[in-house]
Amino acid sequence: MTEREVALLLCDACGLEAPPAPDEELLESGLLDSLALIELLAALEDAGWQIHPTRVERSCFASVRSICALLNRIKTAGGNEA
Amino acid sequence: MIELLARSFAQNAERPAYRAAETTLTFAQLWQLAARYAADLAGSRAPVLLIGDKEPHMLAGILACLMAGRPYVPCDRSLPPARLAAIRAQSGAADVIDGTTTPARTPLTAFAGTNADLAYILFTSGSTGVPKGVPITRGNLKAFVQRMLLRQDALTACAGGTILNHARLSFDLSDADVYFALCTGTAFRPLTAQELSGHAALLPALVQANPDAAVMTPSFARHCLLMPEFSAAQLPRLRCIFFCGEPLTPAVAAKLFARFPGLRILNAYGPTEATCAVCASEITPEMTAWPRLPCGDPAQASCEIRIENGEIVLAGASVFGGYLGDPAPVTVCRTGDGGEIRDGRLFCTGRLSGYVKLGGFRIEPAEVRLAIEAIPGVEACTVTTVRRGETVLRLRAAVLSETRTAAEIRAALAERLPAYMIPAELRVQASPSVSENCKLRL
Repeated sequence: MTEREVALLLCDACGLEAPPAPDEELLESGLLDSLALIELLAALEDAGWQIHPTRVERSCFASVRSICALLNRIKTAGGNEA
Repeated sequence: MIELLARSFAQNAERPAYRAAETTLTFAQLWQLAARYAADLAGSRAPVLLIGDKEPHMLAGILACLMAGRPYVPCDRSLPPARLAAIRAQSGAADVIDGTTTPARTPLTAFAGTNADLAYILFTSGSTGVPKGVPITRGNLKAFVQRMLLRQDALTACAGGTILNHARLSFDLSDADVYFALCTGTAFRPLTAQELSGHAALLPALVQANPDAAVMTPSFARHCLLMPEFSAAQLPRLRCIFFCGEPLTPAVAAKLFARFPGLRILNAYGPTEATCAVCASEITPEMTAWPRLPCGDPAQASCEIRIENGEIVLAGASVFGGYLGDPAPVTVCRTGDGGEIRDGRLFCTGRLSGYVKLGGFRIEPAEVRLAIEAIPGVEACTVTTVRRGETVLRLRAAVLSETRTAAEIRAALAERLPAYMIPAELRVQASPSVSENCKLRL
């Protein structure tokens, strides 16, 4: 997924007013709190990405850029599962 | 109420009653511990604060208060001191059980308490800026247990096994797992604050618990479902989940049926004012194709259920008598929930007014707003909800202040409000802004 696609997915899943900038801090600012994270992971799952929350650091969700990097790592590892 | 418990405890004396990761107590041991705490409580009928998470003293404290005929006031350990002080003052609590002192050596044997006496007082978010006390009588509690809880055969089929608790004891959702355990000889397995702190801690706890039944909010189920490991393969005994606290969607029910073939799901409904839940519907896989799931059978409820002007209105055995400190007695509970009854089934259609539910937590936006406005340097504030469809995703606070930063406001709120009431989105402006069409906007 591109950064733009991730930003749009995040915006929709978490009820944000506008897609965040790629480097915008999501966790500390409260934009991505624990409830919003559930929405994001559920939306990623609907988009075909299976993420194991027990195996992924929370810091991977700190920005659109880091989420994209996580998804690229999953893809490179040869599947849609982390 | 105590007779009901005494019978169950006597029949199940040697079975496990409380099972945390490191501690197990049998029903006989739990009764003994409770009766020792109760001996210290005899001689007064004033409320008792129970302070903690889900340690043995909390469960023993609940039982001890029922033995001594005194209402218990469960307070989560994480409460800010200022809020605990407000609850203590409003409830008039005269004693505290917090696990730091050893109870009396000689157990109490002469118990007190009638149906009209209070069983507990739970404090919820109050729209006037202070927590609101909801007093529930022993008669209310007995009606919930006998007319609602023990009539769910999807749940009673799990009696004698282990029931998983998720909710804090200061939320009445926990009435379902606590009283099911205590009244049917089922082991109470709490999820502790540490185990709930993240998926990495949660998964091994769930596997170790290996529950037969579980009580939780739909939000927590969604949280668990994020882990592909949350399935029959890792939790082979799980046969029933009892939901209450917020709407259960068909999508979540469908995911649960896929992960746990043969699972039975109970979708319950009811406000704190009517003792945990007043009715429940068993959800079948076919129902997951419906636009909305039913939440109860009014014919098998713990009170009378009516719809008035589209609002669910409750009256009868499990309904409270009025808020703490409010002289006006209550004969009906106007829930503020929209609802309809179709084919003998209750459907809840969403909140009409008053508080909102956020991840299963009950919050009055006015209480949050008043707490922010009470901070020196804050001139004005609005608190709104961010929703997607019917679901509330978070609170959004817009704050007018020339001197305070968002971080300072959050820190000030943390001294007064429980963490779940602090808005996830909090923006501070030094001056009101003017929108494109020139309306003054905060």
